[in-house]
Amino acid sequence: MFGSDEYYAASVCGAILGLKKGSRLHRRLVRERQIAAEAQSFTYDLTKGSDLLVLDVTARPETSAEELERAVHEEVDRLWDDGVTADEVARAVTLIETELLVALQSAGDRADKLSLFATYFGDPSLVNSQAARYREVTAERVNAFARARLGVENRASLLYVPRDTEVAPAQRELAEMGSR
Amino acid sequence: MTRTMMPKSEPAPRPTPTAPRSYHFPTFERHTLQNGMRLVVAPVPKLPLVSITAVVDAGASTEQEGQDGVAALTAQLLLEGAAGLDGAALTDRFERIGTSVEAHADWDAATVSLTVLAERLPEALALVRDLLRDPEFPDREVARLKDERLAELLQLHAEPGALADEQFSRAVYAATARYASPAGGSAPSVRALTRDLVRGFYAERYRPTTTTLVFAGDVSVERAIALASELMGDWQGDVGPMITRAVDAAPVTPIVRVVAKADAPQSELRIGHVGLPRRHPDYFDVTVMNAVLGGLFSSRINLNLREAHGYTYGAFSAFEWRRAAGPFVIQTAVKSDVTGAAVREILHEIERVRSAEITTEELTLATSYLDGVFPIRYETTAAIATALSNLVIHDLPEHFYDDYRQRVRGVTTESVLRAAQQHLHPEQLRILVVGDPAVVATPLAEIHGAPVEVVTPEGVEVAA
Repeated sequence: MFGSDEYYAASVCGAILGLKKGSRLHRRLVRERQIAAEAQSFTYDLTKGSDLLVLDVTARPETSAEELERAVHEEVDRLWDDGVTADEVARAVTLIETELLVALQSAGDRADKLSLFATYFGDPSLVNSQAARYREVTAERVNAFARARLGVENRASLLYVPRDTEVAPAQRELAEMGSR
Repeated sequence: MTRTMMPKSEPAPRPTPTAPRSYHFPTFERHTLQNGMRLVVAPVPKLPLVSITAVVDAGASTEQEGQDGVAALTAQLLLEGAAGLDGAALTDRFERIGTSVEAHADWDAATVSLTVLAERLPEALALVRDLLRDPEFPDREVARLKDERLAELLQLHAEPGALADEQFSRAVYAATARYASPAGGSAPSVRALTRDLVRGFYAERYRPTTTTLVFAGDVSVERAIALASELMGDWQGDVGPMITRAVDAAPVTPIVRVVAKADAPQSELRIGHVGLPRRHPDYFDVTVMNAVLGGLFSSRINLNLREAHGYTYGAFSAFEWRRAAGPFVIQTAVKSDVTGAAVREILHEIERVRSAEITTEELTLATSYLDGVFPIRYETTAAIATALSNLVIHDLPEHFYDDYRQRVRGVTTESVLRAAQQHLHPEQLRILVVGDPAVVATPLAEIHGAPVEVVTPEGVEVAA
C-alpha cells in the first residue's frame, strides 16, 4: 500500500529489477541474453488494499512469449532465493532520489506531487520526507518484502501476443538485422 | 513495524497566491582554464542538483566529405567504452551515482550531459572526463551502432513523414552541401564509416580548446573551476584545421518533386527554402513573423488548412536555427485528393504575410505567447544548462536570455512585414510531396510553373 514502509521497500525492489539499464532485468534479458528489447518495472501507488509491482518486459521479434515469461520468472526466483545486496539498494535509492528531486524542479510536477500527498494523506508537506523514507530502506527490508510478496503463488502473468499478420518488407529486414 | 501516513482530520488552511514576480534568467560566469577549455557556471542553489553539459565543437557540419555521420557515431561511441571500462560498466558507474549520461551530436556540436545530486558532482565529472579524454571506440561497438543507424534509416524510410523530411533537405540544398543529407548520415555514408575514421575525427575535433563545460545548479563558480581544473586541467592538444566545406549551399532552380508512394491515401507536404543562420540580426522579427504564419496552433496556415478547409489535423511552419542557414519549412499531411488545393492555400498565405501588415491582435497573440512561455522553459537545471550551451554554440550576446522577452515585445507589425518580405522567397520555394503521383502530379503541375519530377523513395528519378 502506497505510503507504508513496505511500499518503499517494494519500490526499491522494483528499481533493482527494472529501473534503467543497470537493473537486473535489463542487464540479464536485454543485454546479456538478448531475448528482450525492453524491460522496466513500476508500482501503481495504490493507497487502498494491496499495490501491484509490475515487471514490463518486451520480447525481441525472435523470442517466444513463453521463453520470455520463463526468463522473467527465473529472475524473480533468483531474487526470492538469494535476495539483494546493500550495493544494489544503494544504487536504486540514489537513482530514485535523483529522479524525485529532478521532478520537483518544474512547477507542473511539483503541483502534481503536492496534490498527490494532499489528496491521499491530507498533508502536502509529506513530499519533503520522501527522500528520507527511501534512504531508510535496507537490503533486509527489501528481502523481507520479496520473501513475503514475490513467491510463485503471488504472481500473475499477462502476455500480449501480436496476431499473425503479413510482415512488411522493412520490418522483416529489421528483424533479420536484429537477429544477426 | 508498519508506519502508514494517516489522513489528518483538519487540512491546513490554503495559502493564497501572491503577485507574480518578474523573471530573470539565472546569472552565470565564464572562465577559461590554462589549457584553453572554457567554463560557464550558473549557480542555481534551489535544490541539491547539478546539471553538467560538455559542449564540443564536433557537430556534423565539421565532418569531412565522404564521412557523413561520423560526428553522431563518435559522440554515441563515447558511452561504449572508456578508461578501461566497457559500455555496460560505464552505465553501471553512472547509475551508482544516481544518474545516466547522454551523448550525441547534432549539426553544430557534440554534447555529453547529465544531472546528478550535488554531493555526487566530483564523481560525475570524473566520469565525464573519462568519456571525453579516454574513449576506446571498440570495434564491436562501432559495428553495432552502425547497424543500429542503418536499421533506424530503414524504419524512417517506411514512415512517409520522415521520408518527406529527408527528401525535403535534398530538394532544398545543393547535392554537395552537408545539410542536404541527414545529420546522422545516409545509408551509403554510414556503411563506409570505420573505427579509424571515428578515431581520426575524435583526435581532430575533441580538444580542450573546442570544449566548454557548462554547470547549472547547486554549485559555486569557485567549486566548478576547482573541480574542472583538477580533473581536466592537464588535457592538452590543439585543434586540427577547420573544414571548409559547403554546408548550406542551395541550387537556384525551383523544384516540385513527388516521392512516389503508390495508392497513398495521404500526402506528406514540405514546402520551403534555405532559411537563415541563427545569428542573423532579424532573429526576433523572423521568429514572431513565423509564429503568426505557421509557428503556433492559432497561426494563419493552421487556421486556414485545418479550421477553414478541413484538409488536415495540423499544419506548421518553422525556421530551423543552425550556425549556417538551416531550412525554412512548412509541413503538413493532407488527404491525397486535396494536395493541390492545400499547396495553393500555403502559397497564398506566404503571399499574404508578405503583402500586408499583420493585425495588432495577431502580433499581440504571438508576442504574449513567446514572452509568456519563456520562463517556464528554464525551470530545470538541465534546461538552463541547455540554454547556456546554445549561447556557447551560437556565440550569442551575453545578455541574450535576460533581454529575450523585451526583444520579443519590441517586434512591430512593420518589422514583421519587413521580415516576411526579406526572408520569405516565393520564387525559391521547393515543393516536396510524398504521395501517389497518379493523384497529385497533375494538380501540382497546374499550380507551379516548374515541371513536376517524380522520384522513388531512394531519390531516383522515374518517368512521370
